[in-house]
Amino acid sequence: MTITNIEIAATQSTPAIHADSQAGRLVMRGDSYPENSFAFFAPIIEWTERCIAEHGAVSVDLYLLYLNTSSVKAMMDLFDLLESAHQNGRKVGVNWYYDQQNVRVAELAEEFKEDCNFTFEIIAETAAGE
Amino acid sequence: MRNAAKLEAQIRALLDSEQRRDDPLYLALEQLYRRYCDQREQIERLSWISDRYQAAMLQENRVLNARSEQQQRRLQKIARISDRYQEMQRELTRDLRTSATHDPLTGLPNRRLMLEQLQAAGQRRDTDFSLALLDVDHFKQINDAYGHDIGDQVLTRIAALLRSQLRSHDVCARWGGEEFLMLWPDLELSRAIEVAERIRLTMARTPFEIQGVQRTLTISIGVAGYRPDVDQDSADIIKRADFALYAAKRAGRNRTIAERSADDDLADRERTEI
Repeated sequence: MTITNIEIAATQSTPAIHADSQAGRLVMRGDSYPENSFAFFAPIIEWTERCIAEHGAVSVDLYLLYLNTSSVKAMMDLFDLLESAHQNGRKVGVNWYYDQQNVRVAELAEEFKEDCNFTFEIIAETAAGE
Repeated sequence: MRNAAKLEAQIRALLDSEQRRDDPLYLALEQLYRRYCDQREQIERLSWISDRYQAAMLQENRVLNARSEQQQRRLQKIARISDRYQEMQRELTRDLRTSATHDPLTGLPNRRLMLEQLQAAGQRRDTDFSLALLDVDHFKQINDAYGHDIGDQVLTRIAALLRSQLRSHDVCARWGGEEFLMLWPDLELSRAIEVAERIRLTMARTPFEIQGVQRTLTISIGVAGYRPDVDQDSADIIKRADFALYAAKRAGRNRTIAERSADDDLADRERTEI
């Protein structure tokens, strides 16, 4: 196994990141408005690329609330990556969880989903959590 | 074009016939014709290269255009989603502000917002302002008889009735249990007493249906006017309204009592001095 796991605790401005190479699973949870979003997201994008290259599959679970503009861009980069992997026959999927109380998050996830042909589920939760 | 082809055919026929082969004119024509053919071939080649080049440019242009349109679309999408996130955040902030400054039961401003408004009224200093503290008489009986849920419903209806009696720039806050504080930012004391009395009468005449039974409720009101000479802060005027409310309760409830005015104090003092 050449890819390492990523484990980053949430801060006030960055989401918690949990990237499990063994399971081929990436989890992001929280608000995202990092000061330097390129620096924050670059390792995550890179991990995803390598995970797809080595496993031929990745599943992404999102529990995201607020995203600033550059985080929106980073998420679109991630989805573009998943889309091209999907076009190349890799098995990729996104589950976007949202709190039932906050339908706006679901509407935003719907916007992201628009150009994606891979499996992209938007799932309501009665209480925020896994 | 047809003429050119005809001329070419004619020349080729002449050259092929090989008549007058030794004539210097024949040799000159032959050379000229060969040169003409070379040049035509060169032009055709150049045109072919040029066409290919143009086709390649066109193709590249198309690819670039498509890419730029895609980028444009992507940027628009980022902006659209980002705008919506900001909108969401703004609403959240607004909701938070509302819940921090309003009473969740009645939707009226809470103490905090009322104190802010009072401070603002005190800072304006160009107009008199007055306020009234009012308390629903024997409200405990409603809670005891029907339970707190019904009591809360009645409070909500009272709040709506009070609000309907005020102008949009007047403030009516829930001050505590069944206590409300009303602020008239531009009324002097005597006008405020009139309005308060009108509200008291409206209240006494409005029946509330509680579990199928019509009941009337009364209120006691204490009114106070801003005194720029003595009021240090909003607590002072509220204290005077509270005293007046206490007096109204003591005097038998269902009445409006105004604080003692500065003139009353002066008259008292003069009387004592005499």
